[in-house]
Amino acid sequence: MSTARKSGASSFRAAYALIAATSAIGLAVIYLFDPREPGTYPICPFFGLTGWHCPGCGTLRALHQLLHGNIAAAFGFNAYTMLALPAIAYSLSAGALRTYGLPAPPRLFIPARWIWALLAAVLAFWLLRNMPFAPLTILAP
Amino acid sequence: MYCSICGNQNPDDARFCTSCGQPTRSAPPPPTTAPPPRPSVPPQQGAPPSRGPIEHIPNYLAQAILVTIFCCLPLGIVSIVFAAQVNGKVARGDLEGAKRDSNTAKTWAWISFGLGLAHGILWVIYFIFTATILSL
Repeated sequence: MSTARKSGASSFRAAYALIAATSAIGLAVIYLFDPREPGTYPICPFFGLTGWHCPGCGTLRALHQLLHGNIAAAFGFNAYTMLALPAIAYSLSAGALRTYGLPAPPRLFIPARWIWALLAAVLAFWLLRNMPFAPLTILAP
Repeated sequence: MYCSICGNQNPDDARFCTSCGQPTRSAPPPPTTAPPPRPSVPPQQGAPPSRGPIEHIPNYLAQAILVTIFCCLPLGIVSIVFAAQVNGKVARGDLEGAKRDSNTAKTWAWISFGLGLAHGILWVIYFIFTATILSL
């Protein structure tokens, strides 16, 4: 039991280390290379196949703008990403601190209905940002 | 399974020991009140419990959102559905079901990460390949 628990904890530590390393390298690349210039980053398979914007479309461009301090431009490329980032940062950093036995902010229990609401919002964002007329085109990247 | 308190053998799906009445989970019960005979009290909708569940069951919601943002979108939608089911079942007291959905959510998170990584690696190979061809 204790060995199983120990190997579980170390695999969690490895996962968080992997996430941290991937994030650091990824953010450095995104800072240095502007995703608006074609050829640096892979094309999204969903966009390549369908020509539609998925809820994640514009994330790299948004992060590039955010890292250069242009918050309004970042929201313009992907509002969902910008709203989700603080929550993800909280969750992952709290999880990492906890896994390494350091003092961490509390674990938040999100009621299921909120998660269903998030799902509905993501699906609505997906649909609305593909609408080709005026008020909704602001959601497109 | 065997009761962690008195050692009595119980059916595998029993939530409470048939001998001593204590919850069959290894974690001790909260010291507030005696456990009710029926644990599945419907959760108070809209009012999240002030204390989290006794045993934490991860729902991998952050990973699910990361997937919807960065890659493999349909997988991210599936992950959000499983995250919602984990927390719904935790709130209803169905810890076994929540653990099953938690494991499913974890699997999807790793599949998504692997696919995203594979996509990136393939792109790098393609990038180097075309650059080599062009320089010849």
